[in-house]
This record gives sequence, C-alpha cells and structure tokens, in this order.
Amino acid sequence: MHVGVDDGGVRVEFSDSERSAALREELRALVREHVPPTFLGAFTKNPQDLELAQSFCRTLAEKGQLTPAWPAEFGGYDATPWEQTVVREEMWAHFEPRGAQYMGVNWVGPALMRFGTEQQKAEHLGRIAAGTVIWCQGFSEPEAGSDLASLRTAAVPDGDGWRIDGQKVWTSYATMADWCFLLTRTNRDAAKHKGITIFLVPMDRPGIKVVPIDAMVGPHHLNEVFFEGVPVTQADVLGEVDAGWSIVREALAFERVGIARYARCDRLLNAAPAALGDRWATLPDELKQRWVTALIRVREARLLAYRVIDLVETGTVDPADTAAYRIAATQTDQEVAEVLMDMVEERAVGASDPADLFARAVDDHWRYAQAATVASGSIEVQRLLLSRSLLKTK
Amino acid sequence: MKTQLTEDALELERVMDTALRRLGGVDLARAAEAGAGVADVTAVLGQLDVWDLRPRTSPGDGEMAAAVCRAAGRVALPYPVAERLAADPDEGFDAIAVATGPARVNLVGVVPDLRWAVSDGVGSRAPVVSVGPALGTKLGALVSEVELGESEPDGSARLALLLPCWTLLGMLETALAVTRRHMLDRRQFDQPIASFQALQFRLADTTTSFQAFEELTKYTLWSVLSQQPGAAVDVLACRVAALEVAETVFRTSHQMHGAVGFCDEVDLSWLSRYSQPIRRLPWGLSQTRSRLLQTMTDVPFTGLHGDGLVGSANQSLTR
Repeated sequence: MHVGVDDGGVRVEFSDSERSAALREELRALVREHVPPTFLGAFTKNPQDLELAQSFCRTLAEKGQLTPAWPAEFGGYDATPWEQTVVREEMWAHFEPRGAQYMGVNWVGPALMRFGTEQQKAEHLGRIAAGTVIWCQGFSEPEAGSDLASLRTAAVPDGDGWRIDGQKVWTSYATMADWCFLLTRTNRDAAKHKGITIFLVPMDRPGIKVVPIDAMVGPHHLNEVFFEGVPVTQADVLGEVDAGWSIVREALAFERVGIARYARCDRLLNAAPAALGDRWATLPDELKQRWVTALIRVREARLLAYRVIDLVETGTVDPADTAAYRIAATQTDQEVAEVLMDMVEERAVGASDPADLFARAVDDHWRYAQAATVASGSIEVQRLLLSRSLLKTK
Repeated sequence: MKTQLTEDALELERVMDTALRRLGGVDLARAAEAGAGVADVTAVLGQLDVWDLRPRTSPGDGEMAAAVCRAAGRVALPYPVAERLAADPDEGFDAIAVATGPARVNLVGVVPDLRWAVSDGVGSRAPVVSVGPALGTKLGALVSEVELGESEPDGSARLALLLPCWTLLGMLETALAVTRRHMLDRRQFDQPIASFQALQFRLADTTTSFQAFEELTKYTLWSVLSQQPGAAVDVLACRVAALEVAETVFRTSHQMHGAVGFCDEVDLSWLSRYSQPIRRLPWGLSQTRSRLLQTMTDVPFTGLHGDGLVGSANQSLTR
C-alpha cells in the first residue's frame, strides 16, 4: 500500500499500493480460475471441497502465494504486512479456499523457523510451503479453555522420552490432520505457565484417537483428541522442555490480526442488493438502515485492523490495540450475520434451491459467526486485556 | 497505507492543546455562557495562523484543519472553528454550516462580523443575512436562528459535514479521559469503581467504539481531501458513526460518573451539553442514515467488494 506525500509531509492514505492492488487482482484471478462460485469452504460433508482446497493450496504454492510472508529461503518472498493483509482478506472473502492450511502457514511454520531444530525445519517447512500437509492445534482441553495454561495433558518421562496421556477438545481439522502442534504439561511442580512443553506429533502415532463432535458450525471444525500412552522423544520437542508457554505466546503473536472476518462481511453485504433482485425493493426500510449501518461497522473493523498493522510496522503495537480490533471485528461479524439472515427471510432456515448461493452463503456465515466471540481468545479475555491497559495507573 | 496524520498536523494540534489549556480549557465554555466574549480565543487562533489553512485546496492543510478541530473539541471550545475552516474566505464567506429546514446554526453569533453561509448539504448554499439571539437553552446555549439570502452553487458541504465530526471526536476523547480518571478516583464499597468487572467491560466496549470512529474520521478525511468517488457517501457514513458513538460514549461517561456528571462543576456536563448542537444539527441519526441510503443510489459506498450502490450493485457471489 502506498504512501501519499505532498507539501505537508506523509499524509493519511487508505488505498492499496500498486503492489497490493496487483496482488489482490492476482489472487482474485486465481480464485476465479480454480475455485467454483459454489465453494463455501473446505469443511463440508462433501469430500470434494477438501480436495479442492488441497489442490488450490498446491496452485498457490506454485505461484509463490501460499507462504508469502515467509523468507525466500523457506519458500516465501518476505511479503510486507500490507501484502499479507491482502492475502488474508481475499482468502477469507472467498470462503478460505486454503482450507486448513492457514494454520500451518500463518503460525506453525513461523514458530518452526524461530524455535525448530535444523532437522525439524527440514522435515516440515518445505511441506507446509508446498501445501501438502495439514496441522492441527492441540491446545484447548475440557478444563483449559480461555485459561489455557491450566492444561493437564501430561507427558511423563519414560526411558529416553515421554509418554503422553490426556485429552484435547475443540481441535479443528484433527480428523484430516497429518501433524499436531501439541501442548503438554511436563512439570507439575512448576508454576502453571512454566511446566509446559510443545511436542510435534504425527497424528498416526499409536495411542491417538480422534472423535468428531457434531456441531452447528459444520463437520471437521470440532473434535476431541485422546492421547493414551503416546510415545514421544526429544526429537519431537519444539524449543526447550518446560519452556513451551513463551513459544505459544510468541507464535500466536505472529498473527496479531487473525482472520479478516470483515472481508467476508464486506463481500456478502455488497452482494445483497443484486443477489436479492426484486426482493430488495420490498425489504423494510428499517432493514436497509441496518444494512447500511453494518457496512459502516465493517469499514470500521477493517480500519481497526489497518491501525494494528500500521502499529506493527512502526513497532509500537500493544496487545490492547489488537484486543480493540478483535472486539470490534467479532461483534461486527455477528451483527452482519443477523442482518443478512433477516434479508434472506424464510430461506434463512434452509435454501430449498441448491443454486440459491446467496442464502447458502448467508447460512454458512451465520453459523460460523456464532463462534467469532469465542474462538481464538474469547471476547471477555479481549475486554480484560483492553480495560486493564486503559485503567493501569500511569 | 498510512493511518496517522502528518507530524505537521499533530504538532499544530499539540500547540493548540497547550494554548487552549492556558486560556482555561473547558472554563472557556463556562465563560462564554456567562456572556464573556471570545476575543482571547480569536487572538490565539490568529497567532497560530489557523485561518491561513486552506483545506479545500491543500490536503496537507486539510489534515491540519482536522487536527485543529479535534483540539477545539477536547475543550468544547465555544468558537466556530470547524465552520470557519470549512469555508474559503476567497469565495466570500468566513464560515459555513450545513442546515436545512428552519435554519438553526451553532456558534453563529459568537464572533462578530464573520460572513456566514449555510449549505443545504447537497450542492447549494445561501448567505446568512441576519442572526437571531442565541437560544440560551441548556442544549443549545449558543445556537441562533438565521435568515438566509439567495442560494447559489456550493462545493463545501463535505468539509462542512466532516470537520464537526472531528470536533466531536475531540469531545469524546476528553469525555473518555475524564471517565477513566473518575473510575480510578471514585471509591464505592471500599474500592475504586474501576475494580468492578462490569464497568471495566463497559469501558472496553466504549473505547473500542471510540477507536473505530477515530479511524473512520481519518479514512473519511482521506476520502474527502483526495476526492474519492465515494466521498459524498463517506461523509454521511462518518456522521452516522459519529452520532452513534457520541451516544455510546456520553451514555457510558454519565453512567460511570453518577449524579455528579450532570453538574456543571464537572467538565463532563459541558462536553455533553455542547456536543448536542453538533449531534442534532443539521440532522439527527435517523435523518442522516436516511440521507446516506438515498445518496447511495448514485454514489458508491466503496469497500473491498462491489460498488455498494443500492439496488444496482454489480457484485454478486457468482463473480
């Protein structure tokens, strides 16, 4: 994105730079060519959707667009934060045709670059960059949600290594994942943040059992993962033993802005007048007013994301800035979902015509938006972060 | 992409903040309502060369003008700063405000001998030929009714709508700052009220709304100063957001302050009351939103997707 300069110095500027605009157009062209308009995400009952996403990832990888933020030596091109933003926006707007890959690309890979051994880098980074491997995140447990550091899944010393026993829950993509980025407790005597170790565990290792959870968000999003005597070795440890918490904090900070939820909201709200056709004219004025208010909210959420990215670029970002963005973006996602559901009227409870793409997209968006204020750090945690920053005495 | 104002603009804003604080800050509003003039304010703003700014022709000046309006808002300055900066004296007017219907204009009688005009917000303006007495009411102390002359084409409505949003932004910033201070100072049940999680969460949500509006004011400034295709819609969208967030911030601020927040001994009362003319004139929330929707029939609400035209969006999911 470019910077405006005139007599007064460097001015505010909110348009794409030439590079960002070209990247946006390139990504849209790739989506047009490889992703059918009927695609509403990789995680459906139709296995072809996942296959399509895997295929699209390989296409992106060939074009150098699967890991743009990565250094060239690992298959990226050191994309600027603004270029990374374009990728996030375009992918989410088009129902994330990278499927489960964004996790490996956005933070597992960078964490491996930062903390992995040479052997781990050699084993994993190339495959993530090529889009041929799926990772899942072994974080949440039945008794450790927002309070993640209370996790109990234990790795107990056994011979030269450890054996892992415990349970993870809400683990997205576990049924299809090849590897798990697994948090375990290796020291029960230490303070709860200090006895955690990360293991990189192949999902086909004996003792791992995945149980899908039927849920309103759709298949593959939520699973239980049970570990019974799963053997691991020092070669599976990421970073230092008992030092996993700081890695997790740093790894998740790679992705300060997270999902560009506003981008899909923007696309769906803008599509509404044309998609509704003659029905648009019959909508109550009050609903049209909610629609235009939602457009404003979406613009504001996007601008708050840009504020965080600008602060990241200048090295002055504070967790409270990210929290404010997340509060706005997740609530806006749900507000937009409600407006759109009202707009599709009776079709909100199910489109009888499979070709009714808008109603299907609205249905999918609403179901996924329900989790917006829960996933990736609940909105209450964000409020705590922000208010504590605001109220600390200076 | 750059989301911060120029250093020139921020420096002018800091200088103006200091100057207005030295003059008394919010006490200037107390004095104005008691009948004192604003000669000191006129002198200080003149010394800062504020009236040499030409935001309609220079984007750099536009950023400084916006920053100056925010500084004026921080102390609820009883002076038509936004209105003067939206006008171009070379076109024959020293100040311009948007008004429709019975023309009521805030701060129109505060500075003697200014040449005022009133814009209808959609392309016409008329000179103010006479100014009535100030209403003197609690919510419109310095608002006057005006008589207008013959209309003529006008191109200043966008700035005339946008710059008061920047003034309001400054008011909201101070309201949040005094609310934070009050939450830390005020003790109930043997602890600062800031220690109650319900109030912490409310402050977090209100601050989020404020920050979102702050970013929107900068976006809209960019849109207007660089004459983006959607600028006419953007200023109305900005005003809608301004009116909504003003309600949110002042509701939170009053609730946190309790009864003392309604008393003129605290600044919040003045900020709240002096925000009212900006929020009610020329249009309240529903009217502004209605005008926004109407304008979107031929001016796009630009975003990442589609042209945002009501009823004629060319973007659909079928690509």
